[in-house]
Amino acid sequence: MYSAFLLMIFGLLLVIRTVFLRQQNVSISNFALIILISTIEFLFFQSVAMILVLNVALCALPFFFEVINELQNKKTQTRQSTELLDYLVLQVKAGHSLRSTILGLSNLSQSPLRRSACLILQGNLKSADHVTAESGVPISKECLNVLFGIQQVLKSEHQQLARLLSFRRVLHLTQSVRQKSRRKTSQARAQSLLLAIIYCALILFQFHTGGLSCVSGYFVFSLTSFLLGYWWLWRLERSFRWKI
Amino acid sequence: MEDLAPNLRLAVEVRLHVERGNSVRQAIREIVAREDGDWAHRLRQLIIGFEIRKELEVNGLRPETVALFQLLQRGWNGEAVLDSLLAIEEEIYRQNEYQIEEFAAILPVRMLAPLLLLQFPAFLILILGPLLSRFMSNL
Repeated sequence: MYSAFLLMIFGLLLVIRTVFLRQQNVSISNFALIILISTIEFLFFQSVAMILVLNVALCALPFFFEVINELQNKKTQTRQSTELLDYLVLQVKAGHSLRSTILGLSNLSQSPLRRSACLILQGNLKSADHVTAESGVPISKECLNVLFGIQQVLKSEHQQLARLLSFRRVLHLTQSVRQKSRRKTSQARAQSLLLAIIYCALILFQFHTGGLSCVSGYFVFSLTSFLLGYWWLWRLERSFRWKI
Repeated sequence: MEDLAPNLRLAVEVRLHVERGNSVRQAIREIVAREDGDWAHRLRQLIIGFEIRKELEVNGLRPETVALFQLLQRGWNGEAVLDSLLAIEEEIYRQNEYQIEEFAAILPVRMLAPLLLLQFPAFLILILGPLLSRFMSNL
């Protein structure tokens, strides 16, 4: 009982440190949430191992959300950069100059691309760090490629529409290959994710029923075997090589 | 599998250079300067072959890559190849799609090995381990 209580206090401190130090503004609701979770832990899961697992899971939660957020940002930026290119092609086809279109775009309030568009126009886009520092958000590699491509087209004096169309075709080609490869391997990825979820649930169940302790040889052997299998699956999914 | 295949990237980049008004020679030289690894080595060999007018070495290359190299050789010698480049680009893209499909078709079969050899035993140990342990201690 005492060990469970001490572990809960330790876990609480660890969670507060991990969650709060990663956020600039500490809100009372976050603090209250952690107190609530820890109380539930203490009241309902009196097993030391269960509390340990829950605290580790809680500590990993902010990192998990950060990764999800980063992936989402990347996706949004890729979509926005493609939309920007489509918009530029449409405007140039409608008879506007590329420079004036970008100027007009920089005056719009669609903020993520506004600063980038200004940078393109000024020809100041030099590196990923530079763009990130100027726009205030980390710009993905794909988005940066599009911006550099537009910058190159803008620098050329003639045949800007043809070059824009050509650049857009390359972009569509690359995106199409990526989408196809993702779609084709999505079933395999979903399958391995489902296995991992079932395995985690099974571990929690075994901890809860007290059939398995943290130091149990069965658990260590099983986890090692599962992780090795997962790593093998991960390698297989990425084992594609172009035949040339 | 995230990026374009090297042969498709070469076709696309040469086309972009030609559309910008550069020659095929200039395009290939610029691309080779940027590339690294085995593909860059092969391209360097290709350039040497073009310069000394040696016959193309096509051993181990796929037909579409051979066709692209032959086309680049013609472009290197001053022929207009833009339209043919576009056609070859389409063909290479189609072949790449086929390669992705081929890989995806064989992937579930290859995934059976880690599932049966590592993950299935891991589940079995996790489920049966504690039960066996209790059974043995009760004996």
